[in-house]
Amino acid sequence: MSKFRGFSLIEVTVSIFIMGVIILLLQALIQSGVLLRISKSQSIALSIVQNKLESLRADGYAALPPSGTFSDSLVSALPQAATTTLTVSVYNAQTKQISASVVWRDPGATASSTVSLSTLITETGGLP
Amino acid sequence: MKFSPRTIPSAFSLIEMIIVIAVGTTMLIILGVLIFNFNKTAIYQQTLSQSSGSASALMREIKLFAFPASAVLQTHTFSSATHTSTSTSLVLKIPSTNSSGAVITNTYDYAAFYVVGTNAYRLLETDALSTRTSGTKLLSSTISALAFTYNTTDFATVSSVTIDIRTQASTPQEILTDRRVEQLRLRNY
Repeated sequence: MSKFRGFSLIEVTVSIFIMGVIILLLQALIQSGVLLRISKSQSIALSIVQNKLESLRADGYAALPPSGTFSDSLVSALPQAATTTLTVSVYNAQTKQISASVVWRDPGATASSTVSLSTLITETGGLP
Repeated sequence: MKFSPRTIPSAFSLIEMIIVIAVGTTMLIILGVLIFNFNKTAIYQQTLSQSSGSASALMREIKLFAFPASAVLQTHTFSSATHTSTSTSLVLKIPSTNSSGAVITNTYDYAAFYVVGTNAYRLLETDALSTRTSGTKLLSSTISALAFTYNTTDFATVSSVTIDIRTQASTPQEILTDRRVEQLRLRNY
């Protein structure tokens, strides 16, 4: 038996396995941080669009704005370059379909996230 | 095979010892850094979900009562204490509902939302016929500011409330804040 025999296959396998587990754990931890940030942003975005639909419903059918963007004090709480979109389309003679959405991209996320809500607003009825 | 006495290794050489100690120390340092970072990240994530989660939970709970409410009361005497609607507390009068979801006429439940320190509570007092359950509930323990703004100064005619919730939670490294603002219209006004 030689004095300098190197590592055995078992030793190498075990060490690669241990390194792999540690790297996977670290990766999972980083990924869960990104997911958590996305979920926080999602909750803020949901708050923004719900508030918008609520105010449109309260203002009533006659005051519905044309399609475009809208502002909200919470947009600044989302990551940079978050955009808001409001789409107003005719559903039938006395009803309009409203869709409010927020698009943003969290740091570390691979794709943009969107939260979108839509509702119908009719000529009669509504909130006080 | 026959060993001559000269070739039998009697102990580790100095070089071997130095290498073993160096490798051992490096591994220990790496492990220490890993454990430290795991811990730091775990605390950060826990705190973030606490501050963000409790802000939306509080907003959800206020909505649950503000939407069906018929009025914002300036003051109401609950069995435990009297609560007043101010910029930091809200008292709601809500029509009671029976088990099938129908409104019971002239019967009301009363809810108060208020902050003590960093804790936000909801106090609910229900009519005997109501399906809601009376009691005090802790909604959030990370409140830094809770503000209510009413659409009119006269409480008899208030039909909408703007709720501004700010939460704050801190880790040893930083302070995490979150905010929700929504204007809610009373559906039964």
